[in-house]
Amino acid sequence: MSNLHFVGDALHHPQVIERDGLQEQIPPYLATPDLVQAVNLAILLKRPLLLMGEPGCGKSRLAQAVAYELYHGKERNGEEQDYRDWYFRWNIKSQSKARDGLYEYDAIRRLGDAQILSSLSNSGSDDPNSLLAKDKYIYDRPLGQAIKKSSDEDWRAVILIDEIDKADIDFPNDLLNELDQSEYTITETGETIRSQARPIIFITSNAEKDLPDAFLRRCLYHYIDPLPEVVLKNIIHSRFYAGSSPDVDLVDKALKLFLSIRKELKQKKIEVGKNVSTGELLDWFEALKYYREIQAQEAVPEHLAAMVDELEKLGTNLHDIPFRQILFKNWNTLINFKARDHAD
Amino acid sequence: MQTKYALHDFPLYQLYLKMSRYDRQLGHQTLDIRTYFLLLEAIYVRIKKVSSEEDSDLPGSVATFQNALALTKIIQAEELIWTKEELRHICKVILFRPFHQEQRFNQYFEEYLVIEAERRRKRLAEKEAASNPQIQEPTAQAMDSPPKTSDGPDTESLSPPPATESSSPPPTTSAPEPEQIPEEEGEPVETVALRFEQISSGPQGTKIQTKLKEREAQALGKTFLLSGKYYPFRIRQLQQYIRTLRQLEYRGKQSLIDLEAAIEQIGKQGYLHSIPYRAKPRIKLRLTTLVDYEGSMIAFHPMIEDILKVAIYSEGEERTSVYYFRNCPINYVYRDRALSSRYPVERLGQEGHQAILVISDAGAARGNYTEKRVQATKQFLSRLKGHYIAWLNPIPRERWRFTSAQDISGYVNMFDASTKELSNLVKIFKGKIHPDRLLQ
Repeated sequence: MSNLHFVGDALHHPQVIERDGLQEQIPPYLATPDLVQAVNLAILLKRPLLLMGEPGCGKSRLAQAVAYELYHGKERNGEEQDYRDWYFRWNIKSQSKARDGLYEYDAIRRLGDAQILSSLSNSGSDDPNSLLAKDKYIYDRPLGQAIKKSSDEDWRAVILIDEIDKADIDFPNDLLNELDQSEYTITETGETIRSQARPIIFITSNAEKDLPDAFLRRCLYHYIDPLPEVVLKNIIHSRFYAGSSPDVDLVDKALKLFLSIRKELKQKKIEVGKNVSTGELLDWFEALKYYREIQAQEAVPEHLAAMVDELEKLGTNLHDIPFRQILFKNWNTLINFKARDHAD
Repeated sequence: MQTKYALHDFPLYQLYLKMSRYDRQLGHQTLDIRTYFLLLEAIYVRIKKVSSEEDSDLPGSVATFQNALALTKIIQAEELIWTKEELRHICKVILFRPFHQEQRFNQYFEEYLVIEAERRRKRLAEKEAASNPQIQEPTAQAMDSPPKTSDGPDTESLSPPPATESSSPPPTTSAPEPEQIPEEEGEPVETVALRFEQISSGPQGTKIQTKLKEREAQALGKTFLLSGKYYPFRIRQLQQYIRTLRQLEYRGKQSLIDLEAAIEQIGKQGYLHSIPYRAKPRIKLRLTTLVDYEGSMIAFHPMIEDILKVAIYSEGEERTSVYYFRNCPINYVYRDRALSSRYPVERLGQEGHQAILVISDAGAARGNYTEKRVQATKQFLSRLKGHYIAWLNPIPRERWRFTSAQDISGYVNMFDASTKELSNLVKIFKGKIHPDRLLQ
């Protein structure tokens, strides 16, 4: 049995990793126990995990968090692993076809090379057939790469198939074989790629369109509910105040306002279209924090005065919402929304 | 093992069965027996992990009856040491689908707990009877206490599902009696007031309407509910069939490079003079639908609505390819339901070899035979000769006898609204059955 197990504690603080002189900052990711269990079930049962939830709830970041926890810094054959070698991401577009995620065959380039070859005077030493061998024009795409990389039960690559509902309704059905068994065939060369173990597959969907039944049968499904206050507070702390003490006043007021807005919008879901989500909270809070810090300076630069004044709205009454544009993505809400006092 | 297996020996399987039937009621097929095996696997491994036994591999694949039995025995023998919430979540991740209602799942899960508790109690009682009386183990209590505390508010808050289950929500008392194990879901049985009006679609609307109508029905006696969820065929099935009619058409913007033409050019000229393009193939469904939208068809309006929405419009078919008429078109059909904007029947037949779907009861709803109607329909059909015509009749075939429909079905391929017949209907469009020949 495999040792892969996700606990959800590796990214409680922001991480910075460096490779080849390039830095990458990974923001913290806090998963609820429900989500952690769903992940472990998916790993155990070797099924893809289908994630749905409001936009901005963090479903697309989960895969990265899992890959980071499972593989970053682990040793394999004496080498320390970088999670980026084990994490693949396939962003689905409306024109995506199943094959696009597995590999790409660049026929046009081959054609171009053939032309060049035929126009160059050939000394005869190189065999044109081998120069133009089809397998040289096959480029691996995320799912193909993930399958190839998953060599054994303890080293399964993590792949995120993002927004699968953007594509045609038939699209998930085209993937069934590849999801079921870890193998695919390259039609141009006839080669079949197999792997010992299956990659850990995360699939996100915004439920724009229905997903076909045959596909749903093969997946486990988890809906990410809007996060409770406690978790949100932790997220803010770990993301913005890692290593320093939090501005309790700001955090409390911001959270209170945010939760009122969320509660209110939930009732009006149909007109509003989209409720405020974790992603928006974090963006919004970043702005609040930034201008609070400027406010705390002795002399506030003149061109920033107006922004700083926005901050005053926070906590005075719940009708005025500072930096509305960050929270509200719907025109109607932006203009008209007034939060009410929800004492709960 | 000589014991015969009764359904109540497998509470988890019952849970799976209920969810599976619920799934099918919604017109889907997203749960199958492998899902159940998956559930067993998940719980079994959890038990193994917690009881920290040696890492034993699961018995091969679970997908045999023997293995499933073996797993079930192990699971049922173990004390379920985790919380009800955890177990519920495991079941949810495996059995719950995006379009299911959470309330329904919770209800079934609570029922499962009740059955499981009862099963354990029985088992315990049997054991005690078999051997000398011993101290009753706390296992029964462990299973009982979670249902006890949360059964009350949970099941009470559930509103009864729309008029299809003959059983009421499970008993909330802490001493479940075996006789009250909820029945398996059968065919929709409930009867409520019949009204010739649109019932708002969607579960919420249906529930509220159902409640109101139930009371009316009580006053009126037995009557029937017009609900959009329980057709004799599955809309999605129809959608699948109609989708098989899709054709690729090659009109449109020339945005893709035409490799074949390029290779040909190089073959002929020795070089590529200019890059040839072709249009991106689009999937197009070419189907004209004619809908009978008058008096006796009113009862079928919700069904027609659903068919149009799910099976036809969703395939990208334009709304202009659906026409309406009353009883039987003579010279005109209409573009809208109010039958105001007309469109000549001749024009329907002009483009060659079309697929035409007619939805009408052909007189079977009222149960009359009207010579006039039969003749008019014959004439209308003769104008559409040469096209592939399929006639969908919402009234079941048995009721066509001695009505206009019986006659008309001699002139056109008529199908009733059952899954079996629908699969044949689509074959007409594909040309697999000659349009002029009758089906038996």
